[in-house]
Amino acid sequence: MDTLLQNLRFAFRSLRKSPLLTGAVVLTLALCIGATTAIFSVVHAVLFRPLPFAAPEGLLLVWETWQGEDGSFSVGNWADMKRADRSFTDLVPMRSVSYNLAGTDSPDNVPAARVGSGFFELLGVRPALGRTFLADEDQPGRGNVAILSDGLWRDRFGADPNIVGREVRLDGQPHTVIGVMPAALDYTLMNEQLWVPTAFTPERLAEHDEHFLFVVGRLKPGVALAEAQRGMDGIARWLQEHFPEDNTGRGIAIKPLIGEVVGDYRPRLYVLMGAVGFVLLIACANIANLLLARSAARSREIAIRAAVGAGRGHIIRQALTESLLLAVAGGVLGVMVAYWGVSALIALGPEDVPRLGSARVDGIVLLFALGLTLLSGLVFGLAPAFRMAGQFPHEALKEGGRSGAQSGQDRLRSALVVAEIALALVLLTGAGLLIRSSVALSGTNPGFDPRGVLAARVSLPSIGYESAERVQQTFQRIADRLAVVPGVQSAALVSRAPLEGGGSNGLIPEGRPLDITSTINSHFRLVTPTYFETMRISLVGGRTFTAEDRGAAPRVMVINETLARQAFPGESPIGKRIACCESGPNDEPLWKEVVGVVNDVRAQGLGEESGPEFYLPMAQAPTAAWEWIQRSMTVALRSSGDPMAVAGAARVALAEVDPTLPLYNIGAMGDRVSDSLAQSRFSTMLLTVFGGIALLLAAIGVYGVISYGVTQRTQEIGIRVALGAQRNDVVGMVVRHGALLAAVGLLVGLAGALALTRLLSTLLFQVSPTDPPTFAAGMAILSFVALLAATLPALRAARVDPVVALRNE
Amino acid sequence: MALAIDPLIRLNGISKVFHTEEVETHALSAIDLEIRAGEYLAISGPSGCGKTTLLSLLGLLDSPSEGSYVLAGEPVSGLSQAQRARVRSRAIGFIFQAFNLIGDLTVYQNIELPLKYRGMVPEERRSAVHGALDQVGLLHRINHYPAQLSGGQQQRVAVARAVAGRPLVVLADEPTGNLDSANGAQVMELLAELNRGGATICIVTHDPRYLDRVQRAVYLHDGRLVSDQPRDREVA
Ligand SMILES: Nc1ncnc2c1ncn2[C@@H]1O[C@H](COP(=O)(O)OP(=O)(O)OP(=O)(O)O)[C@@H](O)[C@H]1O
Ligand SMILES: [Mg+2]
Repeated sequence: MDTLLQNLRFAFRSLRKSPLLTGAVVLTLALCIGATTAIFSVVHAVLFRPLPFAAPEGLLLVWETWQGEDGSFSVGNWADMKRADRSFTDLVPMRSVSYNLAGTDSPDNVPAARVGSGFFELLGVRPALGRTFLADEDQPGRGNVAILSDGLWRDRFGADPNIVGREVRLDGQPHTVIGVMPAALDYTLMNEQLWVPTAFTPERLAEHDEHFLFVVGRLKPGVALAEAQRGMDGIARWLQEHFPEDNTGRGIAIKPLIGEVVGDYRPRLYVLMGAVGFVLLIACANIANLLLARSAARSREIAIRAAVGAGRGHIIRQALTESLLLAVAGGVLGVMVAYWGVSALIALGPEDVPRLGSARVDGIVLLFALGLTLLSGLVFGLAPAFRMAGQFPHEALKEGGRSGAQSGQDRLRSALVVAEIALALVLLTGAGLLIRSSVALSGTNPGFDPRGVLAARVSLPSIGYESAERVQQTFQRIADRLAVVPGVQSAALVSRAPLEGGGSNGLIPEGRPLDITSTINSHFRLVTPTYFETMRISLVGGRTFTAEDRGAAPRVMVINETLARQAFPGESPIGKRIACCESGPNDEPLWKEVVGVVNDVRAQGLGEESGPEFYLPMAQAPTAAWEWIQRSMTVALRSSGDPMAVAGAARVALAEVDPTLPLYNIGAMGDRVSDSLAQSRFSTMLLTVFGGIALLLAAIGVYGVISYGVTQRTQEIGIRVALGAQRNDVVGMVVRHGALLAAVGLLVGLAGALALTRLLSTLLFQVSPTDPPTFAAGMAILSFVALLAATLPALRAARVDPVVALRNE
Repeated sequence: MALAIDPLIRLNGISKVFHTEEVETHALSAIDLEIRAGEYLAISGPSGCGKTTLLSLLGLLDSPSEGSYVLAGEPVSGLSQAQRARVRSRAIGFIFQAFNLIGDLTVYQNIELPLKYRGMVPEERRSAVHGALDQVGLLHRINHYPAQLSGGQQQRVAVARAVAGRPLVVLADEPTGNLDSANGAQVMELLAELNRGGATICIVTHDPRYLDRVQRAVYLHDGRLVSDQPRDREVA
């Protein structure tokens, strides 16, 4: 203990003797440890923190698969699966809905979930207030109860402690609040803000065709995932055999819930974590180099200490104490940087990252920072410590000449710089690939013109809008009324606007067998005739809809180019017929004539290839379609100026049709398109910053080593000049040294980058992970900077006075 | 080999003043000195009298504060740094007290270095290096590194390096200062032999034993040339 204190006191004094070096090291460490810790706290909050459920690892999402894609369940398939299953304690259905919420200041629409009665018991979450659903509350006619999320309870009900028992109107229908969930449940599954029990009629329970349920399950204790999957495969076969027309080709897949909640964010966050770790490594290499240079300068002091009896171990301990003291100082400041960094990441980060808002510097993060600090201290401290201990008296006290230890040290320092350059190249190419992707992404033609378009949702409640006719007429009136809002050039309704998701349907082109094997799964949109004009989606062939395409007129559809290619390869689709979405009284297919082909729209996001897609005129909406889209449509208004300027007038216009209807999710399409790029932009920006820092650190590393080398070799350079070396010879010699380091570093980095950029592939868009121009650019930038960093000391070397060759004693 | 220009070196009124922290050191004052081709000259004098300074001026490592320096008929006192480097690589061979071989280079590469700087083509360099190394009797050490040689051997390599390019004059600053007497004598013998072969040699030494071996000794005192005497030298 006494020696530790002594060591510490000595370390403190020795660090204070070189304040510049100490300051530079501590600052570099603070920034790098801080950045790494901040990114870690985001990774921890988003990816690692368990979901706020009891034993969350046992929770699974169950998907119906079709054509290789995970999809939602039909009610019938769910009910049959639940009956047959032996592996799960429960399989609870969940359905995303939204309600117009009245009974508070202004009408609004809130995202909600309809869930099976065992939902909260399955998750193992207890309400903060009141109770959960009773077993029979998911029966038809009994479901007029609601449970609020903490957020909704606070925002809309002023955190009323007596809320339980109060009545709220959801879509105009009275519901009794029976409970409030704890805050931990906010924003964990589907961002739902309230829960209402599902209620399936016997007809629904027999329906195997319409897919809209999510299913959450919990494995029974002792049941392995693979075993459960085998059980599900059996059930899927049974469903295929018994309902071949609906289930041929369908399977069931089970996935851990946590992965489904945060899975998409994993690669991006891991890449950022890796990148910032690389930056820290580069910084450590730099610091090791600084300390090595200092240990060389202190070799006499060390030698004297060794000569008076300090053992190897003692010198190593002393050196490590210094390194760890530096690391801890950097770590303490780093935690402060991390506090600031986490709030910056939350503020600047994309909005849709789940649980990002809950990132903070907590105990685990502090523990991580501590570990990181000690590890850094060892990483940059070990080499100098052993190097110091290796300088034994006879070597260090020897006059003149370059001893073996000296050139060994040069090799170590060079190796460190090579590693820095290699790491920096990996980061730079990674950043370069993301930049190219970002550019390609924002340059992608979305297939429509989002500028000047306002989008907002309108939902008709089930109560008061029971009949399909009424729903259709109301939306028609809304469309007509919106068309004459001042400032609006063109108004349209669409079941889901681009970037809003939306459902899909199976359809069969005429001439193919009428069974599931001919089915093309295709995105479906219900539109008013002006939709294509409003969104500026261009017609490739045929015509778009007119007001005449209604009720009794022949059924028509417009398809996109992808569907045209898939359904009618090599033929003109115009005039061809397609069966979908509804059948006649005798279950015979109802054919729709393709009247037009429009260009593909990147409706799932700019980075997603368009799939097959078709449009039906709203005036010919199949009856069931209103249920699929839950009587909700998106209003699209094109105006010449700021699209948000017409929002107020649109609200007024809607109120004229039905004053209880809220206009919600109001936003400019242009903003939505750029928001959809926020993820890509944000990680690109972070990686670019890390790449830039890496470049700077590598440049400092090269400068440090070359400059130190020049100082060490002043005598040699003097001799060379005395022997006739010109200025250029000297500059060339020094720069060549830098170029050699850079070349080796680039070679190692190239191999590393080739191996590592593959991990980026899911984040890349229209650029290959080994994109040669990006690699070339990364190498060019790094070479340029490395040579620049070597040129400064080289110019100093060129000024060495050759007289030193004569006066070296 | 020695050109028919007489004298090879002519210094007129050379002085050198160092300015450091408000102190002016007059290292050399009004030096007049002529060295003929083929001469073997020693500069001696007490420590600090300006011997190394004079040698550095002769070797064009530094330029005089005043006076003129004509080397082989060419005035060189006003040359630029680059020009001086070029003259150095062609006309001057250096031997240093501390050998000053470059540790990272082999014997061969050390000797080749000034030839490279001079722009000699590789084949010529090769034969020049071999010839010089043969002269100092170290051909068998051609691929060794300086650290693998004794001090005397290192200094003989340095001699080979100085003469390989057949310079107009070889300058040596206390070439035996870091050697024991046996090795010192060997190096001095080597220089005498070179001189007998026609080389112009100018060494700094204050060892009276070696002064006997030169043709001419000049004495410096406080930066002034105080004596310039021909020596009787036994010719073997
Ligand atoms: N760069 C310099 N700056 C200032 N003074 C210098 C410099 N170089 C030499 N001197 C001074 O010039 C004088 C002559 O030095 P010089 O090295 O030529 O002496 P020297 O005769 O070679 O001595 P020694 O026998 O000890 O080698 C000395 O007083 C020395 O201090
Ligand atoms: Mg001297």
